[in-house]
Amino acid sequence: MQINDPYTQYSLEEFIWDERFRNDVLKGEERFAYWDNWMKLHPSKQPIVEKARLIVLSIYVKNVYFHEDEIQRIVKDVHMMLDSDHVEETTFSTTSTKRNSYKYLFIAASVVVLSLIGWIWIGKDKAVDFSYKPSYENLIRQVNKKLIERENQTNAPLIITFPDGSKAMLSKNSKISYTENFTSSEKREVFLVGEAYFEVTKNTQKPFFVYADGLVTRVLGTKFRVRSYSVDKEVVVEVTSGKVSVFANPDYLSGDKKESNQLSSIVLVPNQKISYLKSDASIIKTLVNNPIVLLPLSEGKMSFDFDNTPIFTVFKVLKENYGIDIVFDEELLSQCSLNANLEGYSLYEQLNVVCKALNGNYEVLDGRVIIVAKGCINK
Amino acid sequence: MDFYLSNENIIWDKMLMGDRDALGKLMHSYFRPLANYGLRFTTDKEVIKDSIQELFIVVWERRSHLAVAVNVKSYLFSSFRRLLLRTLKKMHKTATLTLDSSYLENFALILGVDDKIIQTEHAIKLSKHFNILISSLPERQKEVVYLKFFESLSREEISHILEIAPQTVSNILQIALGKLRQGTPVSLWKALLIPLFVSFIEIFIK
Repeated sequence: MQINDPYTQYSLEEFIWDERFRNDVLKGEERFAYWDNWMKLHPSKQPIVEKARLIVLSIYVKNVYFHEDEIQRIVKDVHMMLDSDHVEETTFSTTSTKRNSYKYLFIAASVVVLSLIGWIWIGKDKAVDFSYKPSYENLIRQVNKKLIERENQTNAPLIITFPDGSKAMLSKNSKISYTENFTSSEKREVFLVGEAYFEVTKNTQKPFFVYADGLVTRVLGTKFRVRSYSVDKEVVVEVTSGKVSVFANPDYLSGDKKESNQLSSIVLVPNQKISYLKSDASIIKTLVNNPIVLLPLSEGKMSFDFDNTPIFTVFKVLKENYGIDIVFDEELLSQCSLNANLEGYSLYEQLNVVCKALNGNYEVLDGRVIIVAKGCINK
Repeated sequence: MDFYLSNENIIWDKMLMGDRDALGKLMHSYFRPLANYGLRFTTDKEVIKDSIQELFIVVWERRSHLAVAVNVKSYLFSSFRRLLLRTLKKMHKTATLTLDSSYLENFALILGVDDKIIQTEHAIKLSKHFNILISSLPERQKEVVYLKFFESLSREEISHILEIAPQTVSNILQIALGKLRQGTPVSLWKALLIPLFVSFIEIFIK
């Protein structure tokens, strides 16, 4: 009956890599019943089959470890990205036909890719054009709309209210101008030299643009600071709340024609900051000098008082309170915990304490904190 | 695999109809398999994570163009593979200054042995043995073996992911299995060089 059964001739390795055998082993006892019977018919093969079964069960591919919480956070991030993309879509569709909307979806997706890959290309793209030097005066000259200009020559900050209710706190020796038909045109456009802190009224239909030297900041409704003194080598944008996207734009007029500025935009979230280097139009994303806790105690701020708290939770508290990303090796640090009250310290002081306990240090890269640690000292 | 409507096709349909939770569920259940697959191409966890996020954003935004009756797993695997390789290629081009070891040129497939099941000394020997056999396979064969035996994908699914004919998958598998089933000792130089190479990659991966 079993005369031509090829399995009787199988070696150990042949069993291990046989599809049917593997499936029967991996899918559980019930499926394996066939082989229990088979072994009774071929008792001499029993050792080899048993061994093959154990080996199939035991070999696995070495994999990367993601903690369940981390996966949940990553999924949540996608939801957040979709929320912000959705808003962008609606503003796009006001200027484009439906036929083009697919293209813009693609661009929106590409924005994500490009911002991940880095800012290097921006420098590449823009460095080509040396003939034009963006400055407040040059930008203003290109605008063929009537502008209203305000200047602060006093020592006290000057509060400016735009026609849409948005506000700017203008620092000394700073100048700002905005289009006369501010609320009726499809973009709210502001030109800045010097420093200003903005509080923008939300209007998803009319994005708010701040042009400062070669850098454009685009928001829908947030709080952020732009510093662009003409003597400075760089333009700095810092975010306090909401989401801001920035892109390099050497030329005011090119912004309307090209999509490239959308493609190379970088999204900033609270406590992140970018520096735009005027000389080569490169953009570096980091954290603000003194990150603030985003949530007040009443709205779910978590305590910095750690009592034998697993390191994963410690980082989670830091991440959520400051709204920043902290990258660390979960596997390596899974056994570590922290005993310290870090209430009242700045983020960087807190990170110093944690890293000391982990026998390591940290760096800020691309707006995130990267923990480089050898593991805990005690364990 | 094609003749039953799986639970995940129901979730897929919901996602196509614009159900965000369904998207979240899909992403959650496919995160680990995709991350593990991604690890064969790069050891950079962040790149893998970002690519998976991007994949699901693209899926979401293209949902009105996507088919209902789709093999979800092979669709996600193939899209992810394309996206990740494209990203890595770009990174490779821009990162000319730093020779970053985390972007593997090769398909890295390294086996571990669960020593709770098999006793230690024997386990180590086995692990080495299989790693030698596997690492001596060419890239394509390794990838097919991985998808077939460790992701339990069918011939058709693999053919879709790798964008090659089903018959080619069969052929590749046949050749790879031929090598894996040969329990005969490897030639002397291989026996000396490959374990070195394997442990080298292992250090790499860590």
